[in-house]
Amino acid sequence: MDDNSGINEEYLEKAHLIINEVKSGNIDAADKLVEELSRTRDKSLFQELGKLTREFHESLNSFKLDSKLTELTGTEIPDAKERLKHVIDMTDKAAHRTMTVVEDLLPLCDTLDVHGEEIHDLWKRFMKRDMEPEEFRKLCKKIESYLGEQHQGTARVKNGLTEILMAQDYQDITGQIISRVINLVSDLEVSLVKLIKDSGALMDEANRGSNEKDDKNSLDGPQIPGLETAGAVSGQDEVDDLLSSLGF
Amino acid sequence: MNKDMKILIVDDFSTMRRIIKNLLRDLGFSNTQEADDGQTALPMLQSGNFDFLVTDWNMPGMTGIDLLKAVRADEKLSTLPVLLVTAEQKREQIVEAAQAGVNGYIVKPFTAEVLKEKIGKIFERVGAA
Repeated sequence: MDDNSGINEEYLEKAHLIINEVKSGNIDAADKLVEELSRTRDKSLFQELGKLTREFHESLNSFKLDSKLTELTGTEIPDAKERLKHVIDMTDKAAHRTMTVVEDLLPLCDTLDVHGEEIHDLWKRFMKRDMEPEEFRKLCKKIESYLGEQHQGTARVKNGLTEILMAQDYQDITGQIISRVINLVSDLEVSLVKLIKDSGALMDEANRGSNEKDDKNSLDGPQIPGLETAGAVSGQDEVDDLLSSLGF
Repeated sequence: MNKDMKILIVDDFSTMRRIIKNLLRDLGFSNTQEADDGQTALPMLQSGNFDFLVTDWNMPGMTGIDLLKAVRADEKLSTLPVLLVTAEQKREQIVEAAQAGVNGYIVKPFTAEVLKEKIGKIFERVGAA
């Protein structure tokens, strides 16, 4: 308003002069004053335009200078994507490594179990004195071979358990990677909020409401504790309840 | 329940397929095959005389719900028992699956007991029908 008060006084002064000149019959002088008056108006318009241009230029420059955002979008986000892919790879490998051991050891346990039971049955008969000497000799051989089998088997189970233990080493590394990605997302959030504030394009509440995700076809994936999707059930029991209410 | 029945396991994550395969084997079902999405699974089902389909929902290519709908729409496959094993647990999705004709719905993560119970129920009902 300060800028305008000067101009207003100038207008007022010129207007009085014009009236005086017209009253005195000096039309030429009045014409000249009108022309000066319109030039004054143009001048204020150009001043305003200049100010806008300068502001626009400055905010453009401030975007360019906001190297944090450039860095985030240019290198850190593609980087984070790679890191997260690495997390998938590592967890995938660990799961397969673990399952390979389990798949290898389960049949071993089954075999040991079957052989042990076989010997146990024979042993019970021997204790009840329900066994011929020839059969007892066979039992002794079986026991001997079973003890060897048991010894080797236990060693394999121990190795397998160590392998499973070692396969859990992904947690440390994936944990670190994910923490760094969380930090990156926080940085990005700060930069974006700053960008929105700088550009003065804060959305009003009405717009914000309409942006909420409401796509029936979108899949939400696993529910994260504390971030449950609206309309999601919590666990198998509620699924069963819902299905039985539908006649299942 | 026929322990030799042929089962197709569909999931885009090989670890999950392997877990389900192992759990099924523990339950006595060792005649299993695998596919990584609906698009791969459907031709296998059409030509493979499968007795049971266990599928994930969220997969690239063709999702489990679309596979279920395709199975129900296929004259030869329409009565195939289908079990969805999925992390999706929105009410409307469960209702959608029920309406599409799913036989059982398990949410991940799940236990061996839940899998056993649902398979038992499905074949009890199929046997009674």
